[in-house]
Amino acid sequence: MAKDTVDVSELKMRGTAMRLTLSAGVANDLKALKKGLKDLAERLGHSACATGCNELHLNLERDFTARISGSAVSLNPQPLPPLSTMALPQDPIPVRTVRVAAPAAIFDNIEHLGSAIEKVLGRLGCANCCSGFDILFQRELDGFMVDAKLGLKGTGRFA
Amino acid sequence: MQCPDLPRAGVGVSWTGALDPVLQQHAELIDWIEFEPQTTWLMASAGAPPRAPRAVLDHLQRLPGSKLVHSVAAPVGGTTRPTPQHLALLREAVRALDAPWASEHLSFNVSHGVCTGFFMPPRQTDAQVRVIADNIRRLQDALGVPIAIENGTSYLCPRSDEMADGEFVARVAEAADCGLLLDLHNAYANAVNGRQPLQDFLAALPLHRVWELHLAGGMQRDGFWLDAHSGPVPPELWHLVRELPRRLPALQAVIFEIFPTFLQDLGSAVVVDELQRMRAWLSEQTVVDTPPPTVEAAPALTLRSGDSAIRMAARGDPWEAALTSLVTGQAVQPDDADTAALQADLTEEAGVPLVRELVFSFRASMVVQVLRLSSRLLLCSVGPDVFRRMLQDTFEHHAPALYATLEAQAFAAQVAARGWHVPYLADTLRYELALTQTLIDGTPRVVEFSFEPMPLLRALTDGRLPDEVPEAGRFEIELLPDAEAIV
Repeated sequence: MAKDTVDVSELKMRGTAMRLTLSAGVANDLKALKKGLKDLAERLGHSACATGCNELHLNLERDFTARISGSAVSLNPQPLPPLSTMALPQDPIPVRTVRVAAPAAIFDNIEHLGSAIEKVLGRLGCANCCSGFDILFQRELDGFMVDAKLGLKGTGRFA
Repeated sequence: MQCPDLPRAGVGVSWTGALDPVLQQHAELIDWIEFEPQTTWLMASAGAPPRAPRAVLDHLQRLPGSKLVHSVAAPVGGTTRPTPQHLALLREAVRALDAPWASEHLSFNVSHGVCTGFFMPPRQTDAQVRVIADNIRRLQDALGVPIAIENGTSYLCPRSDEMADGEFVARVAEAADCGLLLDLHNAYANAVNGRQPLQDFLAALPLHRVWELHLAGGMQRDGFWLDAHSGPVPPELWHLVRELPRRLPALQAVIFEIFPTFLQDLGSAVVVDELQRMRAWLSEQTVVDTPPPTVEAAPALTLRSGDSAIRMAARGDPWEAALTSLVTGQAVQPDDADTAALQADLTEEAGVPLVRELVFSFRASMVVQVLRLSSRLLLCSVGPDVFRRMLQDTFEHHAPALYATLEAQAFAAQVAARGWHVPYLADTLRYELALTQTLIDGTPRVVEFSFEPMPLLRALTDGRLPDEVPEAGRFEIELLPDAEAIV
């Protein structure tokens, strides 16, 4: 992991990209991605942030490692710095890449591996060729609708 | 062709990862697990050789039961043959799983380089029987195990210039001297849809060649009964085949098929129930001890130059070209008088619009499976009708592809070519395509966003748009392959 220290004002001036790193296994699994992003947001969102500033929000993201454990994603058990000692935007902020890791154990666990295979491989290859109607697309269509006032509503099984 | 000598028939399932919990919790119900290798193969780009992840085979080896290989992308019913690379990967799966036989479909999926996007019924003629028998022998030579062919589903009307379904399957099996994978739900769907009554179909088959049965559920759509693998076996089908096993002296495997999509709603209990029912069905019956009918050894099938079948194979069957062109909207050669006549004939078929819709749905489902966030973004922003039109436009300009990754790439390319501007779409598509490539090749990638991506990604995983406009700026997401991720 990089240990550079960059002043956030430099970040802004130089337009340096803010980077979040995800493992492909997490990014590909909507449930895991949702859980990971939700946890990050809850821990780092404006309500928990004394300054409410985006800079702080983003830089804190960099301090997280999300791990996949089965289908669940949890934050790095390493404790966050207390809010009271959080770096403020004007302070030097450590820049580190956040890596979301899939532990090797997942590949040693038959249940987890099966789950991973299903989520990753099953939808990239040659689709199952039954001679009937694949309803996946229809279900996706049934799931979400935009009404005349541009409001969103669930339809079909999400009604 | 003799089926390998194995114990009396057992039951099992067609494998997907979603079934793993059932397989582990109810191992006592599982004699067989059938694997469809191509569903797990990865293809990074058009023309690239497919790659078969070894981890899948390792995983399957650890699951209970013996394994069968059911190929789903090298059907024997057409004039296009699979590539050597394709056959080599299939053979690898057969060997790794020690499968006693392999099975394929009596269908076609390519015509003159154009994929159909769906299994299509072959012409049921003498000439086609010779082509198919030759294909089966080649497949058997390539895989090194006996081949069983699966009877397909056709949503077209029976034709007066073709043999009936049962006779056609029987003629192919006898000509190729191969086994039969009798898909009872396919035959049932054909019967319900007005082709051949199930009992007539069964009566025409050389039942001593049946090594394997498929059972599945279906659904109604547009006046047709679809082989949708969507739930339990229809009660009527159970009734019709209640005494069938005793007529199948070589039967060794009965496989239940269900798509994982349906398991979400039905739960795994439906699989357990069907496995128990299948076991009871087999145990209740004793095979009638009648010797198999004496069948003369099939003559060695060598297609000679000048044979009408080999001429047909060489130029591509007009039937395949006509049907492929009709259901995909793609121009398919040869565009000759025979093809044009068949196309005009088939245009009148009530089943053609249905098959066209099935092809569309199948292709769309592949796009949605790979581009799940982009699809949700479009459904929530431009709405389902516009999204559907975007897909239709894509499919009109891009021929179907066997692999979901390629269908997704085609959609993204069409979005770019058309200049369709939907807020956040370009970045989201780029992110999902990069993710797919990283999953395939294990190479880390950095995807740039012109807005803060996290709120959008969170919202789309919930199936909605973000509550607020994402912050503009330069942001990156780095995608790491799982194997290289830091623990």
